[in-house]
Amino acid sequence: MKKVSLGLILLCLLFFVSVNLTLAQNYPDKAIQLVVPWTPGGSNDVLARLIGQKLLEKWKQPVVVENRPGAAGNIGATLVAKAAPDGYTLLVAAQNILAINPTLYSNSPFDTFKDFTPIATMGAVPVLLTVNPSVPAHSVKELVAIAKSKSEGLTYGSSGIGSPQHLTAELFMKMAGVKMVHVAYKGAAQTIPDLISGQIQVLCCPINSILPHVKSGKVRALAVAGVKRVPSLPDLPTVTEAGVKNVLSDIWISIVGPKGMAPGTVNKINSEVAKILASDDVVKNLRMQGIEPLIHTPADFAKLIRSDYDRWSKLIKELGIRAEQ
Amino acid sequence: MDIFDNILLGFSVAITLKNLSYCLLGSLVGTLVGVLPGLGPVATIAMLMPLTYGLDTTTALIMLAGIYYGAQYGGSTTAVLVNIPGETSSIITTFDGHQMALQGRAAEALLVAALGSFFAGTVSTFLVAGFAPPLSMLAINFSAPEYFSLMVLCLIGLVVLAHGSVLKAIAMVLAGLLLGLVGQDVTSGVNRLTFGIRELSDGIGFVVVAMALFGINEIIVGLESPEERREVLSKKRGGLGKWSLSKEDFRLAWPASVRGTALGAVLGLLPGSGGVLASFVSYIVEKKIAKDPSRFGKGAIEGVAGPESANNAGAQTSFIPMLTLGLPSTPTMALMIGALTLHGIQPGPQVMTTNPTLFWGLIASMWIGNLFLVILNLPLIGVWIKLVSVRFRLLYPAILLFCCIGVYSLSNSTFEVILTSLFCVLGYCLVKLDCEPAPLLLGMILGPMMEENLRRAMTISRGDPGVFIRRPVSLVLLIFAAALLLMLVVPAIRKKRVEAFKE
Repeated sequence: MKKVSLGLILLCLLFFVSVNLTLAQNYPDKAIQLVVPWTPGGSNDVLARLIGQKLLEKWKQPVVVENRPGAAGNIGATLVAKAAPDGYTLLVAAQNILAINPTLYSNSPFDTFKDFTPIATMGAVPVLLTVNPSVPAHSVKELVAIAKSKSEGLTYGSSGIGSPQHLTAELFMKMAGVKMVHVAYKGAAQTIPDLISGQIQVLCCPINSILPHVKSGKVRALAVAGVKRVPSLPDLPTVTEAGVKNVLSDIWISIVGPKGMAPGTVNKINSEVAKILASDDVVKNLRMQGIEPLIHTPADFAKLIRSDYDRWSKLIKELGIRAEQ
Repeated sequence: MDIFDNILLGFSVAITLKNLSYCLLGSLVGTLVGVLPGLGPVATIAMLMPLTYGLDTTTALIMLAGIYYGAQYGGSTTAVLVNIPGETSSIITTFDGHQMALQGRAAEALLVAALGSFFAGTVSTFLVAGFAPPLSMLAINFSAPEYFSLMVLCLIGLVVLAHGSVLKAIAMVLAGLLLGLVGQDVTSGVNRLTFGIRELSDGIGFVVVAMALFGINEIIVGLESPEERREVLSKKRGGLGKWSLSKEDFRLAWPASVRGTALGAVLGLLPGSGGVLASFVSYIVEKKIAKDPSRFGKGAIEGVAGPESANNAGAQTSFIPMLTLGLPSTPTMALMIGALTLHGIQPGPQVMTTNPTLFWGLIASMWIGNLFLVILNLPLIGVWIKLVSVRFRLLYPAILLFCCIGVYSLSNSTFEVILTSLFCVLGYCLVKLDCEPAPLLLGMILGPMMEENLRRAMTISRGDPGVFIRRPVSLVLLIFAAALLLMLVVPAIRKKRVEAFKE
C-alpha cells in the first residue's frame, strides 16, 4: 500500500514537472494576470499597463492589470506569493515591497527570498533631493550647513513611514550628520503642494512626480540620490558628488512571480520585457516620465534584491523605524 | 483677447465629429455608472483605460473626463428616486430629493438637480478656462492649518444636519470619528483598531460604509413593509410630478444653486475633500440661511439645488490642480494623470503651453459634455422613473448586485464585500434606534482629516498653536466655526433662561 501511494506521488510529481516543461514552451497560452499592489494611476500602474500592452501585442494573449491595493503593497504581494508558480500570476513589485517592507513591518506576510521568483526589472526611478526655493541653499553643502545652524531644524515631508521619501531622507540625515523634523503625509499627492508653498522645506521625491516643478522653478533640486546623474537634468550632481557619500536610493520597479517558477518561463518573460524596454518608443515614453529603463538578467536581478534588502534592513534596524500592519 | 482665442481653439478641437461622439459616449457611460450604486467613475475609468490606447490623447481624455462628470449627474437620480445614492457625492441629495419624490415631486427634484448641475458646470468650466493658474495657487496655499480649521467648521456644522434628536446626532458623529480611527496612524505607523486584520490597515473604506448604510439598508428596510407598499413611487403618493418648475420653486432654487456653485468650485480645488464635502457644506449653508429650516429633510427644493450644484462644480474644478500642476486632488484625477502619461504626455504646469490643443480642447469639451448631459438627462428622467416602477422583487436584487460589484471593484477584493455586509447589520440597528447614518458617515471622513492635519500643522509649527490664528484663511474659517457654534448654542441658552424665568 505504501509503495503504491509513493508511486502515485512520484507519478504526480513527474506529471507536474512535465506540465511545467511544456508550459514553458507554450507559455503563454492563456491570459496573464499582472497584479499591481497599488491603486490605479501611479507610476507602477502606468508602467505595468505600458509593458502589459506590449506583451499583449507580442504574445496575442491578454495581459490583465489587476489593482490590489492595500497595506503598502503587501496585500497584492501576498496574493501573488500564494499563487501557482505557472507564470500566469505575476506581481509588479517596486523595490520597497521586496527590499523594505519585510524589515519595516513587524509581521511581514511573506519572505522576499522564500516566496518570490525574480523575473525582470523594468525601470529605475531616481530620487531627487529638493528644497523649497525660499531655502537659501543652492547645494547639498549649503543645505547641510543650514540644517546644522537652525536650532529647530528644517522640516522634511514624506508619503508615510517607510516610504522611499522617508527612508532616503533618513539615510541622508545619517550620512550628513544632520537632524530634520519628519512630517508624514498620506501618499505623495499632498507632499508636493506643501513643498511648493513652503510648509515643508525639504523633500526627497521620486523624479517622475517632481520633475515638472523643478523645471518650472517652483522647487529647487539640489542633487540626485543615486549612483549616476539623470539624463533629464544633466547638470544636477549626485549626492555623493556633492559631498555626502553613500546616499543611494534608486527606486526600481520589477516583475516577480511566486517561488518555484520554471526557468524557461522566467527567461521567456525576461527576454521579452528586455526587448520591449529596448524599443525606441518605450524608452522615449519612460524617459519623459523620468523613469530609466532598467534591464537585468534574472540572476543579476536576484543580486540586486539581495543587496538592496541588506542595505535598507540595516538602516531600518539601526534607526529603529517601525510600522505595523 | 487671449482667452477668447484659446476658447475658440478649444471649441475647434472639441467640435469634431470624433471628439463630439466620444464626449457623448463618455457622458453616457458616466451617467450609467453614476446611476448604478456602488459602481463609480474610478473603477470604470480604470477598466476603460486600455480601450483608449488606440485613440489620440485629447479624444481619450475627453471621454474619460465625460465619465467622471457624467457620474456626478447620474448619481443623483437613484438618490432621488430610491433613496440610494449612486455616487457618494449624492448622499446629501437623498435627504430632500427623496422626500420630494415621496411627495410626488420626483420630476421636479430631478429637473432642479440637472439644471443646477448644468449651471454649476458652465460656471466652473469658465473658471477653469479663465483662472486655472491663480486658482491652483489657492489650492497650494491651503495647507494643514487651513484643513484643520475647515474640519472644525464642518464638524460643528454636522449637528445642523440632525433632523431629530441632537444627542443622537452627536453620538453618531462620535461613532463616525471612531470608525475613522481604524487603520495605520500616519505619523507613527502604529495600527489602531485593526485587530490584526491586514486589510484594515488602510482604514475602512468610505464607499463600503456608504453603500451599507444608505444603499443596502434601504433594501432591508423596504423588505419590512408589506409587499403592496414597497413600490417606491406609487400612484397614491401623487405620481411623479410636473415637468416644469413653478415660479416659487425657481425663486427658491436659483440662489441656492449659485451659492452651491461657489462653494463647490472652491472645495473642489482642495485635495482629498471632493464632492462629498462640497455638497455637505452647501446643505448646511442652505439650511442655516433658510427662513424656515424645519422644511429641510422634508423635501426642500434648496436642499437639492445647492448640493447638486456644489458637487458638479467641485467635479469640474478638481481638474484645475491636475491640469495646471499635475497634482491629483481625487483618485479619479490620479487616473487621469496616469492616462496622460500612458499617452506620452508629462502632466504638469507645462501642459498648457506645450499641448494647448489638449488643454483647451478638454475644457471646451467639458462644457459641451455638460450640455449633452442636461439634454440627455431630461428625457432620461422618464426612463429612470419607468425603471423604478419595476417591481420591488426585480429591481432590488439588481440594485443589491450592483452594490456588490461596486464594492468589490474598490480593490478587487471580497474583503470589502464582507465588510459591507457587516455594516449592513449596523445600519439596520441604527434605523431601528432612529439614528441617522449621515452624521456617522461624515464624522468618519472628517475625523481622520482633522487629526492628521492637526498633528501635521503642530509638527510644522514646532508645537505652536498660534499658527491656526496667524494664517488668515485658517483664522476666517475658525471665526465662522465660532459663529456657527454661537448660533447653535445661543437659542438653546435663551430658551433655558426663558424657562428659568417662568419658574
